[in-house]
Amino acid sequence: MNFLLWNTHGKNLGGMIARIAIYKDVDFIVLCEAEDHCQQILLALNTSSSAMFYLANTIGCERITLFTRFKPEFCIAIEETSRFTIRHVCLPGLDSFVLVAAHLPSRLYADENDQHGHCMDLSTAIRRVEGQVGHERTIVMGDLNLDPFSPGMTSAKGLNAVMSLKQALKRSRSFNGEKYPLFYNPMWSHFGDLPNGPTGTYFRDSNGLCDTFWHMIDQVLFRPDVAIRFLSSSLEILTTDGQNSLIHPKGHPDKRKASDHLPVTFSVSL
Amino acid sequence: MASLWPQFGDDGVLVRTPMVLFREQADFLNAQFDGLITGKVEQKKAPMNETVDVMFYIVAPTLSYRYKLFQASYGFIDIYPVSVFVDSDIAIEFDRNVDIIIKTSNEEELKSTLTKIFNSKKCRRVLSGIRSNLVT
Repeated sequence: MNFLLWNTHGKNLGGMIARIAIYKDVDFIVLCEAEDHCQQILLALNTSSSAMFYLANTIGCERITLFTRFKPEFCIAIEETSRFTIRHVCLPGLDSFVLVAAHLPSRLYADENDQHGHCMDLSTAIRRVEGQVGHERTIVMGDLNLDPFSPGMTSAKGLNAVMSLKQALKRSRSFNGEKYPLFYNPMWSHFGDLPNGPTGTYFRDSNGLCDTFWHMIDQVLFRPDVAIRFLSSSLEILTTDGQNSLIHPKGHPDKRKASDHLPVTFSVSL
Repeated sequence: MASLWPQFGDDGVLVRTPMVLFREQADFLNAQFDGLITGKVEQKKAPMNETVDVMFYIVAPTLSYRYKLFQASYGFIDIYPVSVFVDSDIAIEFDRNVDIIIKTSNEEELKSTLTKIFNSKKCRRVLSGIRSNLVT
């Protein structure tokens, strides 16, 4: 099963999304800031690709747009806020899984404590839904507006996401006598210049005292039951749509031609 | 020895907690949609009992769906001011476009805030979306 995540910067990038969908044989597309263009994107997808895509509408979370090759009735919305949608995906013949798509507040509008609070709320909602559906085969993907090392990502009460698969396979950790289930965060492996891909998913120039300039705010997390089915080599931060570059000559995401975020694709063997 | 306590119960009207008010409103929603759509008020687990944090959800039990409409926080002893947290989708009704905290200093102000939230375009959109899903 192949997934695409992209914050499209409020632009109609239907052509590019359709090319990525073909090039990466995508089954699920999670877009942030695409709500004003979902019909055009759907049209582009279904004009370009031989596979039929459906818009799996959210009821209350306009910030997220979800397209899938499967009929929307297989992707049931269980819990939503304006910031996230949690789906129970039940495809015939496959193990069901929980798909969480989120677009959390930016640092422009929320301080670190507020962001941590949003992660805690999201984490609580995920655990409640996991209790409801009776398993922990959960995938989180979204523009979380946080780096993997932020407190909201790493705290037990937040998303509790760790950089090591071995650590994540311990399933949970305790804090103050209470157990909190872990997520595996493979985005850690894509920081810096060593991998072939770009240094992050988002670039922001800064004159501040401390800044990493590149940020990994578009993230993918897996519960251990999905992490073992995740193909680590499949996780890519894309620099092209298969035809056109998404990178500015200066080396950062080209927001004039595409978006200020780079898309992320990955595969899970469900 | 005689009781040293003053006589309670005749020293004015008791303040209704926001939790009671929210539950009443949840019941009104339930009544309007014959239980197909209802409200649910949940108290957040907090390490200290100094503040009470509650969340108001719109729930469609037959769809197993719920939507968090707002969150409120108030003192356990000193109930007002009650802080109501609304996200930017609803804050637009309050002429803001970011997440906001509305401080209400008495029940009338809290009711007025709830009226705005319940009548917001976002809330109507969520209810309409749920109703469409109930029909299909």
